Amino acid sequence: MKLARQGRLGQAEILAGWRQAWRQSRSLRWGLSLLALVLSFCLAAALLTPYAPDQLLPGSRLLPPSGEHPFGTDTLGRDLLSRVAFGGGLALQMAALGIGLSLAAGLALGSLAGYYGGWVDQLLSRLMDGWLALPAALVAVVIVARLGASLDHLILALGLMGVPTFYRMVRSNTLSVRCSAYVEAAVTLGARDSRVMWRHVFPNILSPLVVLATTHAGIALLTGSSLSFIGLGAQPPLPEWGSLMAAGRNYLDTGWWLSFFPGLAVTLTVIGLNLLGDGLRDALDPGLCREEALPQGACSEPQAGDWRASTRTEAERSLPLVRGEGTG
Amino acid sequence: MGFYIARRLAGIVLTMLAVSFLVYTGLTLAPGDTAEALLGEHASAEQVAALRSRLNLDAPLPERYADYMAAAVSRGDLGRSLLSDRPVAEVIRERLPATLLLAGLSVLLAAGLGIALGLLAAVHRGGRLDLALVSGTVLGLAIPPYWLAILFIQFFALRLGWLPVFGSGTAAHLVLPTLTLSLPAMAVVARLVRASVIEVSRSDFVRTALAKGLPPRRVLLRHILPNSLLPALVVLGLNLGHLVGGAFVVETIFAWPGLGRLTVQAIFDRDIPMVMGSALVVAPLCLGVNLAVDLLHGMLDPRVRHGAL
Repeated sequence: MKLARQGRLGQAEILAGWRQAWRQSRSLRWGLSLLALVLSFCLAAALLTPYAPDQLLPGSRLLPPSGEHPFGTDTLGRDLLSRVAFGGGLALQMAALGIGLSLAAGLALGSLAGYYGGWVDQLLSRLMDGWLALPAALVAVVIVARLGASLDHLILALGLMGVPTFYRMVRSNTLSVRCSAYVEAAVTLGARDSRVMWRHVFPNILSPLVVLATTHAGIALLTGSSLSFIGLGAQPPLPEWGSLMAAGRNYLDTGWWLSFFPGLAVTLTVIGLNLLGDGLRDALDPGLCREEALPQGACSEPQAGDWRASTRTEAERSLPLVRGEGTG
Repeated sequence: MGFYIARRLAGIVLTMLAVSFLVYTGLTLAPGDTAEALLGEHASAEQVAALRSRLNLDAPLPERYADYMAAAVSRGDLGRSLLSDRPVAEVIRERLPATLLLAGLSVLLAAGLGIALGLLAAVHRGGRLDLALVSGTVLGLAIPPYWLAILFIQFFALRLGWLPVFGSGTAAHLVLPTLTLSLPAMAVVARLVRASVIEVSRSDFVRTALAKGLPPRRVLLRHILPNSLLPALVVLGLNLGHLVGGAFVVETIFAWPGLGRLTVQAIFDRDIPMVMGSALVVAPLCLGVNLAVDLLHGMLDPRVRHGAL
């Protein structure tokens, strides 16, 4: 089933499709359940806890987990459960804003390059290739080194890091849709570029984008909390999971809970996101080759060149791939 | 092939020019006065003036950048550290071998163990061992390296006392950082090898080999395995970036005297020439290794040689 067809499918059909995907994909079941578990846990804990995340409790420093404080307290006497729960909100914010930034930039630049081709495509693609070849962490480090360490700058860095991945994906998918017979037909009928883009190209690249965004959210969360951990991201009073663990670094011996619970939170969330990504890929894109099985960009990417030069047979061949019905 | 290499090298040079310009302008150009921004508001006028002349901030940007790059390329001169006043290039040369050792060992471990575990899982696919290994890779991909490091320290160093907590010098100091750095890459390799072994084992030449009576073990090791390793190689190359990110974290936690820790420390010290120097050393290293991996891929797989690449 495809998100793209939602407009033409009845509500019942969509529901049935999702139900089938839920039954068939173990990854989808586990991923969604795990994420729901972490989210509801954070939400419930944040709503129900009597302690504010930055509330100092006199006389209860570095208490081990107990009924009163299920995750223990930190070195300043703050309730760790409440801090981890509020950290969930920050993690969500980090992943969502970071991915949103990569997605927006990747979508804009990628569809430009994929749709118009020519020198715009050449220029942007060379630029993105170079960008992709650089270690993402290095890019982040340079940004943080210049702007200073804070959650906002970290999110900016995470967003910029993801742009080339989204760009390549949007570009190659736009390119193959652009060569398809129905787009050719729409252009022949006199549809404007914006209409072709919105009505024909965009719905067809939506599903792979959703999958990529999900998997990428896990990477963003891991990188972001790593950078916070070494002090280049969210700064101490904020209960971001990575910086919570950094605070526990000096108490590995006497306060294992300080790093254990935030670490568990990150791991469960990332497992959930990765499994959800796998599950969505199974559900939305049966024909899409698995990203990890092939080097990036190897996925049915047509050679860079002018789409106008494509012959009819090429256009026909690319059609099943786009619809996700064949394996190419 | 020669033309291909030349084209790729030219691409690397162009990329490096763009990267160095972005890094240079990014790090030295800021709204307001860079020297004041670096020194903070309590700096005296003389201090600001000294830093301005030190960083050559009074010259126009293109000229400064050209000077910097000319010195870097012709003499290997990356300027001096703001903090210790030592030549940046010298400090980096001191720190680089430790990082290369750590990264090299991690890649070897990730490749070796990853291939072995992937093969094992594929052979037992559907079984309990397979399920355990696949779950292991799911965990390995999701566990943050810093938490893994902390768990290792708590268990092997503090609880059991087998290994030193941090530092460097002996082989024992290498164990935990290498394990931490290699685990995510190992999980990726194992997953890929498992998938591609399963795929290759369905191909016609495997059926032929089995049909003509070769022992299954020989078919597995001589026919299936060599044909399954290419995706793992490519992904190891692509994972290099993650390895660099991992090195920042792992070196910081284990107090490993490498380039990663140097860079992180330089950021805290606002030692701009040092950050710039390490970025400009790490970037071409990564680009070069990526090229090497692609060439190796071409040598091993005739299908991607020449025009196809």
